[in-house]
Amino acid sequence: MKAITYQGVKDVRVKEVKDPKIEKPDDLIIKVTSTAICGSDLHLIHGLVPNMPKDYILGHETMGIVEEVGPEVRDLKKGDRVVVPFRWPVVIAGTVSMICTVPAITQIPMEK
Amino acid sequence: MYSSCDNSNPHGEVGGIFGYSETFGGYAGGQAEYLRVPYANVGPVKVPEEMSDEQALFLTDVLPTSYWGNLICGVKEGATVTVLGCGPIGLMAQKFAWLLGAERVIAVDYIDYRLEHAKKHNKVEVINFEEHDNTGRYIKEITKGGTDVVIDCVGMDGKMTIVEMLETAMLLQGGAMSAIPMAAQAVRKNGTVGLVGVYGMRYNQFPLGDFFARGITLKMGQCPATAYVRHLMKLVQEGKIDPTDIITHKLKLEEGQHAYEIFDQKQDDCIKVVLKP
Repeated sequence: MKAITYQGVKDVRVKEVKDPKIEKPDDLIIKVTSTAICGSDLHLIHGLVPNMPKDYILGHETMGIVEEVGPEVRDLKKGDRVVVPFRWPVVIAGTVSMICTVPAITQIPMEK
Repeated sequence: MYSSCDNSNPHGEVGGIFGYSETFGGYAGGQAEYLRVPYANVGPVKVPEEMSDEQALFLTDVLPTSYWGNLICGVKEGATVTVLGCGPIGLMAQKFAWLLGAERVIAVDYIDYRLEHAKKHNKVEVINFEEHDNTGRYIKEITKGGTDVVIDCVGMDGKMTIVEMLETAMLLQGGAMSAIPMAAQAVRKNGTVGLVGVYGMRYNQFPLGDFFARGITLKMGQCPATAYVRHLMKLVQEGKIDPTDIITHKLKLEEGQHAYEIFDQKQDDCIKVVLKP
């Protein structure tokens, strides 16, 4: 597939890279329909964030259509259209379960 | 505490982020034809058919971050708010300030077309910081003591002083910090400053004494985006907030290199680029 990759400071390139695949049972793969560049992506290409490997795929504002789901994905299926928040609430254990009652993984506190 | 996840990032104190270096978990990013989404039971949110991509896409980051910036600062009915920065986050933070009931919203930047955009679409007072010797003090004057809240939507990639440039190059400074002393002056005594723009590492000359002397509360961090996606989706659907005016460019994924250039160099009046694979 094509992807925007980091090549070095002020150097990004669209390259052919390997397609992602399901690695864990609760992964899913989306076919991207829209993605955006964030101001914080510029921090990366300005060299302000360490540990950026060459050919690393950029981008954290993405949405698309579910293409494939792992066996433990519960509510989403192939064909669903989704937005993917730039970071995800991993509430499997630990800190978050202190603020929302267990099983925390099913809960996303929302504003009224 | 979503953004402080202990599990998704074995490399650091912050939770994992797509496409944001090994330090942030090493997950491949989404500027691609396909994206692997880990922890799919808690991250992705279904989008209703009637919403366009352009309405939904910014639920990933821009909308939650700009909204949360207002929330952590306690913006409410009657508040006076200064927003530093008129990039995508700053522009949306201005809209949310009005939505939450602010009575005065002041926007600061140095890029004219972005200030124009803020004035036209968000009906805010605009200040070009290059036209003032001390913009923080200027805001303090025109607001008779400062605004209740200052939201810094600039972060470490703001306009650097020569000293900051040199220090950053020598890894002695984590980038620009000019928005912070400005915020420390523009906020009223006992007011709140929120840092939504991203900062890294350590900073010299941090105006701690200004914050201390004026009793200012300082809040900051990465927004726990997922917590707000559904609520904000509703606001977009109801027409209470419209994120689409910040999109200045729709390009093909193949044009990614050009897209980064115009966004980085602020060419062609670029505010936000959406890429279509």
